Formats: sequence, structure tokens, C-alpha cells
Amino acid sequence: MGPFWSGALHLAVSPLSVASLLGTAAALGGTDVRDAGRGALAGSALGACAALAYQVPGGLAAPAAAVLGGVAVLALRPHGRFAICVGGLGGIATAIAGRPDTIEWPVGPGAALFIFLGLSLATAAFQEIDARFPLVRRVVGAWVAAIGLLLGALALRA
Amino acid sequence: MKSRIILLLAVLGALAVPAAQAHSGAGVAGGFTAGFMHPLGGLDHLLAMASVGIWGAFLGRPLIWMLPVAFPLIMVVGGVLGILGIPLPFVEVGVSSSVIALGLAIAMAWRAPPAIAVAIISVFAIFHGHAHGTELPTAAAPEAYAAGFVMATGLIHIAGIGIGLLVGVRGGQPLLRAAGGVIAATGVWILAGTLGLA
Repeated sequence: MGPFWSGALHLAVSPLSVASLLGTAAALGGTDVRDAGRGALAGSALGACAALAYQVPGGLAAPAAAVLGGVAVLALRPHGRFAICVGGLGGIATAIAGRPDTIEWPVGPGAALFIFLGLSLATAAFQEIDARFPLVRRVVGAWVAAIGLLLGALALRA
Repeated sequence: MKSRIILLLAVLGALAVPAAQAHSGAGVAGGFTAGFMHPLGGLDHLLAMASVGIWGAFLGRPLIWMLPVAFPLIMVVGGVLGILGIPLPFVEVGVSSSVIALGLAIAMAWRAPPAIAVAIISVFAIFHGHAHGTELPTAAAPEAYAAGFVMATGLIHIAGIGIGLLVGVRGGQPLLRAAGGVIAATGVWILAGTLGLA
């Protein structure tokens, strides 16, 4: 498997990456298509950079996931710059939680593809769900926040 | 709408296949499975989580979402205590008691004020979280284990809410109250087992 697919699949099999992605989608699920698109673009761009920037410590993913879950729990509706910030934070958290050990430039685009596709599809799903069952976004946000806080505590213990 | 859901499922399925092949019963996948099965495997956890959802649905808004949201977040407090190795007395008794108390709340159709309902849930969530957190550092893949058990807990809550929504159906309330009685009785049996009396 080449580094491009490795960059995408490492994120797909990392529980914290998937949780961060779901948390971001849940947070953006209360917005319209334009803000969700801004968030997904910001997430994939910053995620690609973060996947290659090993100076960004992986330990930041857990608190970031907790923040994203909190946005969903509070049922906030990020607009404009706030949507870009939420998407960007989600992209960074998703990328650093599951990036591969080897540094090769195709890892970045691979991560970006996974984040963009995953975030777009999951956000669209949350937007549909939010119109019928608004509590689902809050419940999923609570899961993501709980996972982030638990893994943060685990990292501190280590 | 239908085509979007099919597309989403297809993409998720395609992403899941390599993961399933790469990890079978060990590592990340094994840790996730172990964590996911943990709340489903123990009757005490299963009944307590389902009762949270049922009671929330019984109480209506805002508690229908407040209880399933508060539970995992407060559970983290207990989880962190467990991870850090800080002992909490009577954890198993607390877990068993949660089944009895929540079963009774449903059986008696107790419409607790929101603050009191959240406080009750919070106390029990700490016991449940501590029980999970103690096991977490010894798990094969702690990240995956934590994700698995939080997700399973949430899904049981949602199933409980689904069951609890029967309260709006004709004859649903007596049925749910009877179910609450059965849950409480099962909790007594579990507690007796914990204390070595059964």
C-alpha cells in the first residue's frame, strides 16, 4: 500500500481519529451547506498539514475531540469563521490522532481526502438527522467528548 | 435522501473492509470489540444504561436528551479516578444499586425535577465509570477499548430511549412501569450476588 492510501487508512482505523471526525461532523451538523463546506475544506487543508507536521504533538487530539464534542453537546450552530475554526480543529485532531509513523508527502493528500470525504458525508448525515431527531447530535457529541476526556486522562497517566 | 444514505453506507463499508482484514481479534480491532462488548456483556451495566434512556424518555424534554448526555460525561469523572488508580468504595454495590434505583424510578413513574434526576444519574455514572476506568489501562488497546465502551453505552441509551418512547403509545405506560419493576427486581438479585447472598 502506498503512502497516499496509508495516510487515509491510518485515520480510518484509529478510534480517536474517527471519534474526532464524528465530533466535528456533529458540531457542524447544525449549520447550512455553505458553512459545512467551509468547515470540511478547512478541516482537510489543515488536516493535510498536520499529518505532515510531526512537531504538532499527537496528545493534542484528545482535548481537541473533547472541545468538538462540547460544541455538539451544547447544540451550537457554527457559522462563518466559527465553522472554519471548528472544521480546522477537527481536521487537525483527526490527522494527528492517527497519522502513520513514516513521513512521506503523499500522506498529507491521503489524510486530506479521508477528512474531506468523511466530514462531508458525516456532516450531511447529521444535517438530515438533526432536522428530525435533534437529540442525536447532542448524544454523539457527549460520546466524543467522553472519549476525548478519557483518552486525555490516559495520556496524562502514561 | 435514500441515495445519500446508500452512498454513506457504501463509503463506510469500503473503509471498514481493510480495517477488518488487518486486525482480527487483536490490537485496535480487538480492543474496540472488547470495549464495545463490556457494557453489553454485564447484565448490571446493560440494565442500568437502558434504564437511563427509558427514564429519560419517560420524563420527556429536556431530560430525554439531558440524561443520556450527562451520563457519559459524568462517567468520565469515575473513569479518570479508575485510570489514576484512586479507589472508590463500594463500586460494585453502587453499580447494582443503580439498577434497583433506576428500575424503581421507572416502575413508580417518578417525575423527578431535572436537577434531581441529573444528580441521581451523576452519582451512578461515577460508579459505572470507575468500574470501566479501572480496567482501561490493562486493555490491549486502551484507545480503542475506551471508544468501544463509550459507544456501546451510548447505543444502549438510545435503545432505552426508543423503548421509553412507548410511553406515548396506548397501554405503553403500564408496560414500561412493569418493565421497571422487573429491572428493579433483577437489580436486587444482582446486588444479592454482589454481597454473596445469592
